[in-house]
Amino acid sequence: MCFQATVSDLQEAIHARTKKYYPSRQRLTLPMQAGTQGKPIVLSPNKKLVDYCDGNVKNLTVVFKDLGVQVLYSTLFFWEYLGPLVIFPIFYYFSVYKYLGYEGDRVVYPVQTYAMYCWCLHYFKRIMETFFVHRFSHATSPLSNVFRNCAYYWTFGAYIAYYVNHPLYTPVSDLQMKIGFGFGLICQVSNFYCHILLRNLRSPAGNGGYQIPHGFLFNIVTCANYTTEIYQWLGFNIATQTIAGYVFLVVAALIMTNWALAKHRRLKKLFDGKEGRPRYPRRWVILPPFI
Amino acid sequence: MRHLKHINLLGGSSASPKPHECKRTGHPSFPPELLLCKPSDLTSLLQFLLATPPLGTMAGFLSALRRIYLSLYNWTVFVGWFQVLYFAVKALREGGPTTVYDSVERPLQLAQTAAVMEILHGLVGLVRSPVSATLPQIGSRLFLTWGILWSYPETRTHVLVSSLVISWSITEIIRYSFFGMKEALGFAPSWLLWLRYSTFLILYPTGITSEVGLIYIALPYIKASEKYCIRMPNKWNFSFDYYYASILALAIYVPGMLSMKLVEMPWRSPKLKYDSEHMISQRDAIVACRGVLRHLFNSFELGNLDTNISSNKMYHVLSISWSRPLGFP
Repeated sequence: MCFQATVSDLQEAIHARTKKYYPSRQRLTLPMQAGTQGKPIVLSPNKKLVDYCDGNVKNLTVVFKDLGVQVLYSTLFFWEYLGPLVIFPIFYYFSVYKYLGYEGDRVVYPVQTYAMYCWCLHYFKRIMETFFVHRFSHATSPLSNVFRNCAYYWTFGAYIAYYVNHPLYTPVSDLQMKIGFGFGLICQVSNFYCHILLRNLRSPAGNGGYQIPHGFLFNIVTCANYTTEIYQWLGFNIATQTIAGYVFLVVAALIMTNWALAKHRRLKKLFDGKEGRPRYPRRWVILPPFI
Repeated sequence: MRHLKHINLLGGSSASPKPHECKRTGHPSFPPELLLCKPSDLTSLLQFLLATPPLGTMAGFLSALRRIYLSLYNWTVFVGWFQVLYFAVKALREGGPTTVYDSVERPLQLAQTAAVMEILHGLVGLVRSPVSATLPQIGSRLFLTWGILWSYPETRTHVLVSSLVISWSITEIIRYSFFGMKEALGFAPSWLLWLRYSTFLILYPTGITSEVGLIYIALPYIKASEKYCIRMPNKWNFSFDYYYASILALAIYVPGMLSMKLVEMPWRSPKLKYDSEHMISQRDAIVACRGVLRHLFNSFELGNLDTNISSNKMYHVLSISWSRPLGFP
């Protein structure tokens, strides 16, 4: 066996034998001891096979699992963000409400126009970040996630767009609108900056790609990108004031908090201060001053 | 160096720590999963330690109180549903299907609404059923009892009301007597468990059909009335149309219920030797203790711990052998 062979070489070899299972679809793990609990060790594509051999250089048994059809993360994100980007202007520009029983002309308030710009800017920014800013740790995601995520984004997009562009929409005061959109815009820009910082953190080598995030808001909160995202939606909702928007805010915040807790836990576990690794500093997880 | 310690632990605690779901399978899980899933949660550790009777009469008193309360609850609701069945059958024989609702209205509403307590029990940790499973079930029942039958009297004389009420009452009678016996006596006869899973196969389809049918029948009346609707314009830019909400409910009803109930079926969890909703079995308690010890040993790096659980007719024995690390005092 060649000592320089990496796991990804093994994956290519498997793919050469079985046309169906391209490398991103394979999950190779070391076999679990009977009776033990916990997660099996996944073979990382960058590492050499000898690293997993554990002394017995002649033989290595791996367990193969098919992860199903995979799509690139960028593909997944593109489709889920395209929906809201297209749906909201449809409700704004076209006379959709005629078919929903609301005859007659619509009066369009300034806040509705700004909301449309703000919303479209947000999702356009997200698509741009997907292709030019983000560096993904796992290259692919199962195909079923495309349907699930698109359902989530597109349904909520339509739900909010329906109410914000409604002919019977009641706008808030001018001051409230300005505060809402102003705050939202600041948070959008901060969010973009957080993504740039995260991108520069990620270097190909070492620590499985994980670093202690630092700089700007990351010095006080682990997942500053989620924080700015949540506050940006809060700003949008203060300006547009729809129950639908607030429901979306709560659901999105819950989902992101879940992710943030996992990331925070992972970073704390990785950076435990032992063996020369730095110790993870005390920080807010996602939403100061709550959590 | 090796130290061999044998610890006899009599399990059988009926108090339970906070209900938890196994992240992998989603089933209501054993206490060890709880401890393994949240390694730094000392409160749940303490909570469980307090729950085993040998560790305090206070804990024993609380667990007895819990049993009494749950027995009372289950048997009371059982009586409610028994009344429903009795009045329903009586009305069918005397007046025919159109008179069934009027005879059962009060006991039905009381018994069905009392089921809301079960959500509370799950949240507070009195019972181990996951809230995510009970919530849709109770939600759909309340939707029918109050949202359709009580709100739209035109539906009350339909023949589906009889099939609905009878399906529900038989199912609930069996279910509540089952749990009532478990709490009061500590066990439930196997014939009752058998009855529970067998009648389910007939009564669940008839129940679902009646529910879906009644919602469908109520639709024209819902559309004609403005009940429960919120219209625009309003300050919060919100609207709710009960008619379209009911149609949506209809659409997700059958797939939703099927996916929920199929999870509960006994063939999905053949390893469960007791009902997962109540009570830790003796073996559970022992396994949990082992989990506690393992966790303690790992967190405080006390060395290697070998455990073994054996059983005889009277109790379970947890054997521990512990090799001290070098330099340990």
